[in-house]
Amino acid sequence: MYKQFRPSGSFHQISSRLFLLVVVALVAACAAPVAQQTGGAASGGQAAASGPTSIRISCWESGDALEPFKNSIDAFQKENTNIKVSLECIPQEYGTKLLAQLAAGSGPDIFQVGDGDVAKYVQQGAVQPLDDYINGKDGLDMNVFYPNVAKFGQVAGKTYFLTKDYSPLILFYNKKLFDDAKVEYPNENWTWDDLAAAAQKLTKADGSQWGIQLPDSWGDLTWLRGALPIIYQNGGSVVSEDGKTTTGHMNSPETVQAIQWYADLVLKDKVAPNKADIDALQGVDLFQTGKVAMLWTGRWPMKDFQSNKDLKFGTTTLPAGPKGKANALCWAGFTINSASKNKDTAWKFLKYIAAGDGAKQFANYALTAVKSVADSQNLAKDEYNAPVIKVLDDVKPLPEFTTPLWADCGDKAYKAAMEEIFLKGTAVQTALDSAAKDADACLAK
Amino acid sequence: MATAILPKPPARRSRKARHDTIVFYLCVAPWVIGFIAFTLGPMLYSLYISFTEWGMLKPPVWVGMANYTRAFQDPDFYISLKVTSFFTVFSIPVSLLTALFLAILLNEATRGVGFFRTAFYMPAIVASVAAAVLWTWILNPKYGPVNGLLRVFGLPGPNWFSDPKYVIWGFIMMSAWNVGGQMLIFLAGLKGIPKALYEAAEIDGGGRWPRFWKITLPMLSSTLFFNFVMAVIGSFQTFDIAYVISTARSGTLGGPAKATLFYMIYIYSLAFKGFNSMGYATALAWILFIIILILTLIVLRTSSLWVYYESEKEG
Repeated sequence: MYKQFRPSGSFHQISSRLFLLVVVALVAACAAPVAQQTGGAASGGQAAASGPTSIRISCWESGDALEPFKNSIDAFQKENTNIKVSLECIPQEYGTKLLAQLAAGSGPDIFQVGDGDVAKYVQQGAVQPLDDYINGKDGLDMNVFYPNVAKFGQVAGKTYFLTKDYSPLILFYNKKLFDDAKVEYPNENWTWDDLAAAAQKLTKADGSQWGIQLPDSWGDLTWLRGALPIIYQNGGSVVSEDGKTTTGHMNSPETVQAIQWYADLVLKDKVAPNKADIDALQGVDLFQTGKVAMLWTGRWPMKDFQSNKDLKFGTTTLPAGPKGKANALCWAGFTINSASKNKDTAWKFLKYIAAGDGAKQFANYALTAVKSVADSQNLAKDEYNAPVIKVLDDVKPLPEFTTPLWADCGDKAYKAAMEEIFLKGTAVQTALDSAAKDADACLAK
Repeated sequence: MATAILPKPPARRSRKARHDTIVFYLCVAPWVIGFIAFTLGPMLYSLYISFTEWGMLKPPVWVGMANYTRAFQDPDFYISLKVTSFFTVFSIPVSLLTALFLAILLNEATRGVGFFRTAFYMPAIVASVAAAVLWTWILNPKYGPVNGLLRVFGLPGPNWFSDPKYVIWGFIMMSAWNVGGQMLIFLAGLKGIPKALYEAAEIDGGGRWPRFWKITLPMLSSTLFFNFVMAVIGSFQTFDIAYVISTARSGTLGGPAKATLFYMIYIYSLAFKGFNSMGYATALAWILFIIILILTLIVLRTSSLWVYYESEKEG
């Protein structure tokens, strides 16, 4: 080969060969992206005639949370030998990757979406309305789901998503720390004052123990979802029902008072770890290590806590505020890619994991929206889960439902205000006034 | 026109010359095609995107100059420029001086040079994500060694990465630590200075400082120039460490309180986290391109005032 490229060879021969090489390279370069683009979405369609249809499902889970996916895919494939389901999970930057895949036309057939992105994907036309499938030949009775939960997957009366799992916020408490301090365990009749008083007694002056960690288990003081119950418990709100105004909602007296109560626990009473405490103890589970006596968060750490033999804990509902009980859900669902080439097959699998036998697998890991499955688990009688089921009646709608711009405008402004309060010590009213102003300006665009 | 003064081309070019030309173009074709397909093409496409409103999932909608005018009315655009410039202005002198200092020490050292060269270069090969995580521990408010040292002197250490006032200084410290690449280039530059110059100075009775100012610095100015230009470009493109630290610490890109809203972080958050704002993010990317271009041109144009090239003076 090398020899032929030496000047002694015929130039004519060489150049024509090189020309051929370049043409081949060009064809390959141009063909590659096309092949990639169609390969992802259409491979199943082409294969349908000769072999099994394949569909792809993507999620953001990792670790133990992948078990229900693997188990239900295995079981589904055994029943449907002509369908192959491949699982693609991306625990970090899932949204970024999914967006890029969808834009490139190589998105998965079924994908997981969080409550905050529901409106956004619907507005962008990326997800398939499911009503035709629900009412079709291979249909689904929507009455099998808890209506309060199933509604998270609907936008303007149409169903786009079926529930994967969800969790309200509950209160965990460490029995040993309560016993040591001779404080009565939290119960469902508690009010804000009861919680604050107990937290005070459970806080040690040397900084080795706090009464409560809130509003989540990972230490993000600016997380709105965790603080929403507080706002709702005081009769406050963050945005108008039409999703256009936050002034008079995010900075209403009720909301300001609620956030003041929350901020005081951290900044004034110091019964909850502040930002510096959380940062200093980065990576430490404050509840399991006995650094906090109560934890205000979702149901997700329950399994870990139950498998910790040294930890004696209980759960109860969030306390009632001046305006009574209120809660907010964290919700995830599945949808079908509107550009999928195998929607019928995707629907079959989606139905299986959301309402069929697959849903039982997911129920082992997190709360299911299927009534019959939940009943068979007897969660309402379970020591740890009873409060979780109980608070489902208190769940209020999310600001995310009102506008696809919520994350960009409302949530951003709220986070900025909370940073002002917790990091700079800005007054709650001042911070929320300016947040409402910023959010309104942003929503008006 | 100019063609008039050019000699007339020979009536018939030699066969060989023509073949040579064809072979040349065929040989460079893969690179030219690669450049067009993977650099120029996407750049032109992004220029088009910057004039549209686009959320990636629906076709882009032409909005003319709207994205560019929006930038100049966007407070976050100015905040991101301010954060980036502040970091550039302080991190570059700090990192260049540290790199130069280490290079001089290594150049003077007689024993253990290999060990120290490796040790000082080490941060450059640590993945930036790992380095960022490492620094969250070094600057841990309670258990970090930096605050531990401050406590010895009775100073209260700040919560570096969560305090909007101090977070940028944490980043500047990190940039002073990660100078391995610049240090090696300085070291190479130092090795290239002829020993004879120092010997001559010594004979004339020049001390250490005069030798540094009159010989080392001028002879090193072209190396300094290279490091400076690369550092300016690099610091305007700061992304990975800010991404890791701000998401780990404040849960918000660019947090706490927008104190690490570097320009690239702002572009990224608009492009991939924002709603329908890929077009605006692309417009900001083009504005950054123009800023870096102008800065680099200024540095290049003024370089003749302070950069000494041996070959030029001799020629």
